[in-house]
Amino acid sequence: MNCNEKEGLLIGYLADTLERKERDRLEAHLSSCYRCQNRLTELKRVRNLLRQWKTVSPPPKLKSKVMDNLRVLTRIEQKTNKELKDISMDDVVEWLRKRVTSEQIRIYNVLTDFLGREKGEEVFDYYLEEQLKEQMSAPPREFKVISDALNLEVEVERQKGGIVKEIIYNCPYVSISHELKMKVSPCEAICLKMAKLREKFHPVKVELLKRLPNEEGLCIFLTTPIEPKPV
Amino acid sequence: MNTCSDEQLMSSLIKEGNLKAFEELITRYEQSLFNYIYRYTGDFHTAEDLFQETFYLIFKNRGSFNADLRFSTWAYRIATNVCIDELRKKTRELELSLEESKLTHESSLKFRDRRVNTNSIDSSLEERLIKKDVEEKIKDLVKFLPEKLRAVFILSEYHELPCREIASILEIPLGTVKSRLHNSFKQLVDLIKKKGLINELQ
Repeated sequence: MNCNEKEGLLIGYLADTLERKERDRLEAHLSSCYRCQNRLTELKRVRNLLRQWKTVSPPPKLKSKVMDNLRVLTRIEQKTNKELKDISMDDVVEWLRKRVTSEQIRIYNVLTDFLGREKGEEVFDYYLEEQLKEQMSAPPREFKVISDALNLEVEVERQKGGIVKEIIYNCPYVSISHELKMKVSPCEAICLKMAKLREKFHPVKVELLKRLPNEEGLCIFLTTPIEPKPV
Repeated sequence: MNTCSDEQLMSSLIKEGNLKAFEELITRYEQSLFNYIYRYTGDFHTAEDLFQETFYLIFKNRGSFNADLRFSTWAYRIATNVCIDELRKKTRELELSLEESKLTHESSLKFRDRRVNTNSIDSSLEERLIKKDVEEKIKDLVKFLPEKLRAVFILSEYHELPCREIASILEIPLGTVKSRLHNSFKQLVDLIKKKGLINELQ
């Protein structure tokens, strides 16, 4: 047997991918060849080294993150099933999925925490519905959202006389803190929507204020960068 | 519920919409799937996102779960696909950002060279290896394996799955699994030997 040709077989032996026959032949060879024995020992050392890559602990709360995501997603699935039968559910869900942000999950959680599951989900459904409608009807959606957000910013800036650090919506049931970047993010679109939603749900708001610990309740905070944006 | 098989839990999720069953499945596979994804991508935060993505897809595609298949096989398959998608996306983004950025012609050439010239990959890998602890070094070595070999190697070496199971997960013939496993060992051994890393690693 030629030892130089055994390298491949030794690796196969190590990886345990050899056929029984090959394996038997190699073992027979190994019993009499010190050189190959040494080479196998070296290969085993390599393998033991590679096995030192230990298992890590997953980040905390990973499971609850998955479940939070899922609750939002099941609402979306139900919604699209019920309300938008003529549109391919997969398309819609796929579209929305890409946009399920941590802010949305937070909205869902805050809504259900403060309003109770039933009422909270009702409001959340409304929010989803609006989002779906917008997606279905307006292709230049991004543009519209951006211009809305900028208009709003400019308006508030004007009212406050220049540099604005915070825009506060007196929204009784949602708390979002978000730094406005130069470009408009999905979170800002959500904030705008929540502001509209507040108006529509005015009766709910009154009812709710009684249940909240103080009249201030919760607010949406949009924090702008300190430097004013060019108008 | 603890005594149910994975497949019974899946069936409970599919037929009764039992989210508790789904939660139990996450608990059972949190450790193994997270580690698989982490080893595949080599990045902890990416692994966190992709783990969530994997379970989202498991949930979304629950209707197409084939009861003849073991749940673990199916879950590993989905996780693998999620990882592959992510790595491709990353590569595309990198290419795009390089095209768009104001990199000089020279440095972009350098980048291209790196991608095709193994010697230069080796030397930069070597440089990085010297500075890191053992596990980081192993991570870099495994990352160096081509995607196809990497999945097989991780599943076999770190998850101790038999070749037959790996073949089923990756939907490739048994012979292909064996040859990939063989090649991955060969590449790693070559690399470690070539660079004299065996002592470095100890």
